[in-house]
Amino acid sequence: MTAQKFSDKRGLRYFAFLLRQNWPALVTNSIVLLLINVVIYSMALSDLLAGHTYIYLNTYDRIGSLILEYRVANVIFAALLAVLWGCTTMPYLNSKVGVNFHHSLPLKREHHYLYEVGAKVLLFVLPMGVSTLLGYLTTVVVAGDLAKNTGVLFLSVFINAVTNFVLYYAILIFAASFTGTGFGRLLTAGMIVFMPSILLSSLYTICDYSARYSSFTWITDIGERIMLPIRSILVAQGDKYTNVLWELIGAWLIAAVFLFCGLLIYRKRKSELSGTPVLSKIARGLMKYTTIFVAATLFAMMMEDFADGVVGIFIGGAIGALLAAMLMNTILTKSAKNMFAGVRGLVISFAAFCLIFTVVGFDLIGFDTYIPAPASVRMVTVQLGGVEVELTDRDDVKRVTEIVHTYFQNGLEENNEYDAIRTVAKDKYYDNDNMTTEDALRLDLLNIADSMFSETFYVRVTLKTATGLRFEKRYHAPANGTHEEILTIMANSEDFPDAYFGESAVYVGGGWMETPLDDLNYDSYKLTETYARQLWHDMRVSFNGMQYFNRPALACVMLDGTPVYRYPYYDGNEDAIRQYMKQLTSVYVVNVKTGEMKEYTDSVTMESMLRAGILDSTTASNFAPKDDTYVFFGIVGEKSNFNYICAYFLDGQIPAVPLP
Amino acid sequence: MIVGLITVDYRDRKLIYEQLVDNVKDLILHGDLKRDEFLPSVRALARELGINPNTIQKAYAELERQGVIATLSGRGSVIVFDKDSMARSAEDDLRGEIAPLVMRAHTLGMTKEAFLSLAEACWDAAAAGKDTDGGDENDQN
Amino acid sequence: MRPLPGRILTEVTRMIKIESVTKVFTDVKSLDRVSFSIPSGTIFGLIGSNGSGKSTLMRIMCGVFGAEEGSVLYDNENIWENTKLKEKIVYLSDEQYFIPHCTLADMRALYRSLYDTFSEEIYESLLGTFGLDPTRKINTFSKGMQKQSAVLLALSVCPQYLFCDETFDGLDPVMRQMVKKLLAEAVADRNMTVIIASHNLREIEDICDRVALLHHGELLFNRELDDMKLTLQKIQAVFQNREDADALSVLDPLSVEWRGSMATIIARGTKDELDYEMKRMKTQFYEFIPLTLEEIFISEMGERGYDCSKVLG
Repeated sequence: MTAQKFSDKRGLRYFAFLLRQNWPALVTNSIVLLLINVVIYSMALSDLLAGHTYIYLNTYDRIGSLILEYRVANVIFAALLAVLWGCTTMPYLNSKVGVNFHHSLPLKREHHYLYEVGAKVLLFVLPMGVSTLLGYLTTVVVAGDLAKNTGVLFLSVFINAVTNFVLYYAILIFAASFTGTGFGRLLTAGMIVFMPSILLSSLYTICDYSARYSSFTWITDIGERIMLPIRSILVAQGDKYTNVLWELIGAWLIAAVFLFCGLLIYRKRKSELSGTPVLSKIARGLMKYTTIFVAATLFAMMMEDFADGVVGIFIGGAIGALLAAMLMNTILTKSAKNMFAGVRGLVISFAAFCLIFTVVGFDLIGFDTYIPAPASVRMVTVQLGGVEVELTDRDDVKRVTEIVHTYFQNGLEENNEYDAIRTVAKDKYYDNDNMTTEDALRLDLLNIADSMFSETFYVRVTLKTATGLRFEKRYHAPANGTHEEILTIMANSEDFPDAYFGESAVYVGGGWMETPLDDLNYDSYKLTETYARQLWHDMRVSFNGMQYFNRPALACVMLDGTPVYRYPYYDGNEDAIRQYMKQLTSVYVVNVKTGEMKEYTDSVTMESMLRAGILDSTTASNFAPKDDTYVFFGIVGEKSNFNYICAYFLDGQIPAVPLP
Repeated sequence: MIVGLITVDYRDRKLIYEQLVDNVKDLILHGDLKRDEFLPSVRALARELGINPNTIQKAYAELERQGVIATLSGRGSVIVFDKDSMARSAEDDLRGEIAPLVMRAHTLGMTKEAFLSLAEACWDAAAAGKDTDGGDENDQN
Repeated sequence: MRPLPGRILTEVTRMIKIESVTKVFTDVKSLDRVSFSIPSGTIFGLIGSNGSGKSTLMRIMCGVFGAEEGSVLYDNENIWENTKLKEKIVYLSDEQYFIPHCTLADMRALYRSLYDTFSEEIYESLLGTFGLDPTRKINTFSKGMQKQSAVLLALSVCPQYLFCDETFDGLDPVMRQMVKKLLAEAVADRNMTVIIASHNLREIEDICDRVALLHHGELLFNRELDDMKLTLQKIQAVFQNREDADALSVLDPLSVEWRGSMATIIARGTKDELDYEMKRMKTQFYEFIPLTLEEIFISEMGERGYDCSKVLG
């Protein structure tokens, strides 16, 4: 027992020695962090407070956003520092003599590892903590009341930075235990962090090569997910705390795994291998052959432009594989003499590359045009006309899959014939007599997705089978009958209104912004919008959507009293308007202040109310909601599937103006 | 300083501990080390000469075995022989060495007279050298 | 035969025991079932050519790395990851390592933190003796001064066991002598055990009391130096007739070389024993010549059938 305590004391003394020995690192780290989190930050903060306010974000939020920027900066700094220190920790691993020295000291190997690692972590954490604390205090001093709750943000800066530091540091220490040498360490760590994503990118390139219809973006999505550097910065940018929390926990788990494995390897290390690049054959092999694959792909793509397609690919692949093999041999054995070693491995890996490329890249298996059987598809997501709808209804799914399946089976004809409905729709655009709201809707879809005069649909469909496989296809379909049906299915689906109208959006000061309902500022303009949106959630209506032609509506009235028409056709065309209004099934009236809602179904009343609103509304420059301000919504069709006209009354009562 | 008196010659092929033993005995013989004087401690001598203390231990043990010194616990090794007893001991050794020398001469075919005259000549030379050098010991071989 | 005067043991049966140590480095057997023991308070010489495994053995004895088979015990305690034992050990490797960009003062801090036996007085006094500046970066020192620094630090620790791997190589004769003195003093003081690895037999001869020879990872022998010298003799004898020399066979000599009518014989036995035999032979003249360590080795190796030019590098 005493012996144990005795040795702990010694270890702690050694730890103290390490801390003292590394004082330059502590000092530079502290200076940089103080510079960032206190000096530069306080300047930015003062600047912010002194500057003009932006409409769309109050000062409190802008301070929060500033701190989030600094969070990103701190995270980047933490990652870079972790890489630098990771390369210089335990420098004795580089030399036999160094290892001989350190391992002859009265200190257990685990303690060596733990104390060295721990010292550096501590030397980061302390200045980080101090600087974030000072940053918070600076905010309190400079911004006063506005600083409330920024403490949490600064805490998150600290936690994020420390987490990232530990994560990257752990990876480098793990690499260090593996390889020892400074450069080898960096190489191994770099490979661990980047190679999976790069490999996936190469795979994607190959898959995508002759994929005319298939989309493989899910491959690069995975690659992005596991690309730690990007992820850590993205996480730092996010401000949804719960998501970040899971990311942080995940990062700590990964770090712990790396550190633990690093310790295991360190203990097993044979000191006589210090100085030689990579410890295990497997690691060496992995590094080499992944690089060969990536380089082969890269050069294949480069040569493909240069020489004749197929030939270029294989020649390029060969060149890339050879160069990569030479490079990795030299790096991994630290001598140019072994450049041409491992010929057999090179040949095998090049053969594998050729095989993969031939099968996948040239799509010998016909994956590109493969559509699974309609019976096996559970869910379909269709993007058509600029709207993406998720179909879960079994019949819908089956039907859409059948249509696409048939289309692919029939050879994916690119049909340039002018589409009948399109013709009709276009004609109807100018057809005063026959324009219906359905046509208007249809035209909407077509117009938004394609240019006014396009002759095909751009279709993007994702089919998910019961087994969880995903097939993404994108293609152009002629605007003929079969895909027309898809359009109908889409428009009638449950998901459509949400997909089509999107989430609640507020048009503020020049741009769209998503804001949760409760966070809205209740100035006069937004009050109305709030109620409008409330109603929209019930009724799926949006004033702003209509204004920008995303929502089908006949017209609406601006706050200054000018009516805005969806189609110029209706502008000043009373008859057309009246015609349109004949189709109304009900009008809902909402009191802006109380939210009280009334429904009117009498057609005369409806028409007169809306008419008055649209045609006769007066101008008011400063809109202030009064007890008797109302919003009127005209509905065509069922509540669940509708079109609307919407109008504002600035004030006054519900008129009962009879039609002339 | 007694410590400074004792030396070893590394070039000499004789074992170091034997050199030390002979060295101490010579010093007693010449009166540089007197009876009842204490030899330097193993430690001091080891430090001075830079030789293995075990070797010095061996030398002291051998000296003790020969009765030249005696080790008193806690106090060190004290010289027991005086100049005379040392001389006598040395003479005994010499006697042992003369016999084979004579044998060799005899085997070579030297006459008794030749041997004796040779011995006499050497003796005269040694006596003369002793006078001029003032007591230096002459090493042969 | 006169018994060899024994060393007075201050502590009975304290020793380092190397038991059947085998070490394999990726297919190469560096040490093959090496077994021997080193009594405490000995200055032990480990000899072998480059690649004989002596450095490897040293490092295993210091617990730098472990052996595939076998173990090293200090008074029956295994050295592996035994920090309590390691506190009594300092390893002076042939190439010195210092913390990058450190000064002697920094290294002192390191040693002080890890070794309770570190002595400030000795450190200070050695600084003066060696004349080194503790505030200068060690990487600005010359190679010899770096070696001195390493020796200085090792001695300041006052270890119970000191391992010197080719330590005397980079030192000038004056420094060498000084280091020997310091070692001798420490051995005398506290019964420090010193293990010196070298291929310079001259160095070993001067200061070691025991030597062991390693060759290709095998221990060829392990004996007291004086014992070897006393029990192996070189005789130069002149024979009038060659036939008379046949009588030499009674000595069972290791080697007999002729130059003219003079034979140089190397044979086992004490001087007295062999003298007794030589007297009985018909020689014109004979004399005993003390052997150097090198000659001893060559003979021993020759007897075992090794070509010495390979063994001693």
